[in-house]
Amino acid sequence: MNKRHVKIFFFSILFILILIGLFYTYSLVKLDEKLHLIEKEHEHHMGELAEDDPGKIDNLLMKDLVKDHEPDGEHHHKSDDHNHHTHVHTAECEHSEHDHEPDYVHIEWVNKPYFNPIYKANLLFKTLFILLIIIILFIYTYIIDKSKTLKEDNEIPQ
Amino acid sequence: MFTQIKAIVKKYLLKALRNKMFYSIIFISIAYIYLVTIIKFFDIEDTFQFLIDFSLSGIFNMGVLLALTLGVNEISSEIKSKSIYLSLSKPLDRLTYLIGKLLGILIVLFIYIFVIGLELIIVISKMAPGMILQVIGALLLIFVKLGIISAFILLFSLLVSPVINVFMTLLVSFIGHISINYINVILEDSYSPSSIMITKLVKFIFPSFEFFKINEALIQYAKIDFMYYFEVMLYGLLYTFFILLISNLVFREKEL
Amino acid sequence: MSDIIIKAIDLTKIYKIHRFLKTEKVLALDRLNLEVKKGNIYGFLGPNGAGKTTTIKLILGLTPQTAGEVFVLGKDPRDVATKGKIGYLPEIAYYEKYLRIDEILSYYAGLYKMDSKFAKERIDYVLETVGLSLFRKRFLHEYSKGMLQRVGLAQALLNDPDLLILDEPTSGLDPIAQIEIRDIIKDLAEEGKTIFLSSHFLSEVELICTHVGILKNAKLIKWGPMGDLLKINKFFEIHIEANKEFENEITGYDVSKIRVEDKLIVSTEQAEFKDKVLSIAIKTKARILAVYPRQDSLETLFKKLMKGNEDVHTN
Repeated sequence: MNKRHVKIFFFSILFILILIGLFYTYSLVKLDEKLHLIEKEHEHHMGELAEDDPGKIDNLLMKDLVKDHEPDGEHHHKSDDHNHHTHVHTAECEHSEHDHEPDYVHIEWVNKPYFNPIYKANLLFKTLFILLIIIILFIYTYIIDKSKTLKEDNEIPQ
Repeated sequence: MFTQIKAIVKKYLLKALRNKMFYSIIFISIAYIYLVTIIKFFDIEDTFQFLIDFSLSGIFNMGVLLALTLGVNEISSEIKSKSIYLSLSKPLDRLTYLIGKLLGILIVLFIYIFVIGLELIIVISKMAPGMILQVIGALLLIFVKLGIISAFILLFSLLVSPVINVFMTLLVSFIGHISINYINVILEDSYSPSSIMITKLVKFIFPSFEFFKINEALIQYAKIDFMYYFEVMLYGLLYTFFILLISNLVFREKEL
Repeated sequence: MSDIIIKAIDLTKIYKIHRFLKTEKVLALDRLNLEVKKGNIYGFLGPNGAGKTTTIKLILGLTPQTAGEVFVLGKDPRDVATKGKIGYLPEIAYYEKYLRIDEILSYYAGLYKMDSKFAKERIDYVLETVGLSLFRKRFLHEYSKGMLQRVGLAQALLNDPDLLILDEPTSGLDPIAQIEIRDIIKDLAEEGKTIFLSSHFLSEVELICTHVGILKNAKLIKWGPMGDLLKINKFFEIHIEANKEFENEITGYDVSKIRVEDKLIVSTEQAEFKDKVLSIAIKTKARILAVYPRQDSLETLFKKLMKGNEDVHTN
């Protein structure tokens, strides 16, 4: 196999990997769309409560006033007349699960990556994908095509 | 390799710290944060929201400006002046050279984030002491995000002229910040499925900066899981290294 | 270790210049065969664009060759150990002006992987060698070109190299600085270092080099020891206060004549013609002012080669 073939082989692998990545993202996006529908339904269900929403920041953000049992000093806010605490839920959490916690501020950040498991899965996938590409690039640069890198071995040519 | 990286970083820092631009940006940033803190709203929540929103985005934008100032000319000028021959004629691998340059930029950015962040934390400690750790987390995420941008700046400085470099870096930053949700919710109504798909593909390749933006959570006094910071930082570091390896490939192929 | 320090076998470099929608190929070096032995001061000559800098870049492993092979100190120039034994001074040494001399040198020492204590010792030594020890704390922007060239030489000597590659070491310098740099190069050669030097100054190459190679249009057209190259063009120059009779007599002989005021300068490459000219002068009572055995200067040889009327070479 000459150098040209090696390069073609390497870039084909990279191309296939990118395609797999894109396919994965596509399926993820499909899931995300479903999630969006759930969110819309939820929004509809929440009705008037949405008026309390700090939607000025992000109209996809929903805030639901409920009470939190956990005493956590760090979460208190001095100026508020009630304990402002954010209990975070992911999209999968059914709202009814938390109805027994009426004093807490409950926020569902459906679209925020830090609370949404699908976004988190996306992040994890991207991380793994990049790790894989890094490994391939390393193998290519320092093992397959080392003609342009510094040589550490001391073979004496004829 | 470590001695070489140390030498490159040291030289870079001497250059950066003798550059008036660095001090100007630090000074302007300090003044900016100060101005943001003196603006008070009737509601302390609004004040806090304003402070977090404006200070964090300000820190990031000034950081991009600083990274551009320090990085845009870094390799291209050495190639142009041929002083790069001197470095590369030594037993130095090109990847080591790139790592050294990037670390140099990162250290300068860290100094910047540290100084400005300290000012912000002092203000936050009076307003919402419970949020200090989260703000530090947000600052660290900004730092990692700036790291990715710096890696792009170095990559572009191997490929294009400084002016085009600035435009391309800003473009990467812009595309990176578009959230996939925005594409799903807003663009989907107005564009065809195929163009949406292409947008998503482009989005997949570009860095996902939406993971790094936690302003909304901070404004809501929300606590983010420690693991989330860890995961995003890992992603950021790997992405930076990935761009560095791409730069190395470009650098190897480049006829100096 | 082998005696051969640089060996190039059919070394070829083609640059690809990417233009809009098409790629142009430029032949920068055409099947170069070169051998530089230990202790040589090899002068590498050629007009601008002949391929001198490309050759140097290939020897330094800065750019990959298109074809052929090059070995430096018996190994590939990209070998880490080999690079550590080469010192290089570029044509125009641009340094970061915001640095001090000791800072830039400690940077290069770092690239040679020297620990700080050893680096300090070496920096002191090279600054002493190039005569800059008193100026080590000064910023590079305070220096003239000559001083910067010394800094360049200092960094090239940091690793105590076996092979020194100097690209136009005296270009743009005033005559005194040129002499000083030349003396430093001579001293280094006396220390036993092999020097590969490219230069536009033919007189300088003639003065200091033991071997020479001349490039023209990407090809090495002449090479060999300096003495051998110049010996090829040995000739005699006879200065005569000529009279009419003498001039008539020598017409028809293969000699060249130049009249300078009332003096005639007759040159010939062949010894028998020299004797013939002298006997004619005695016969015609023309006064012989002087007889000089001459050889071409490198400059004359170079001019002839560049005009294209010479393509002989020696080894």
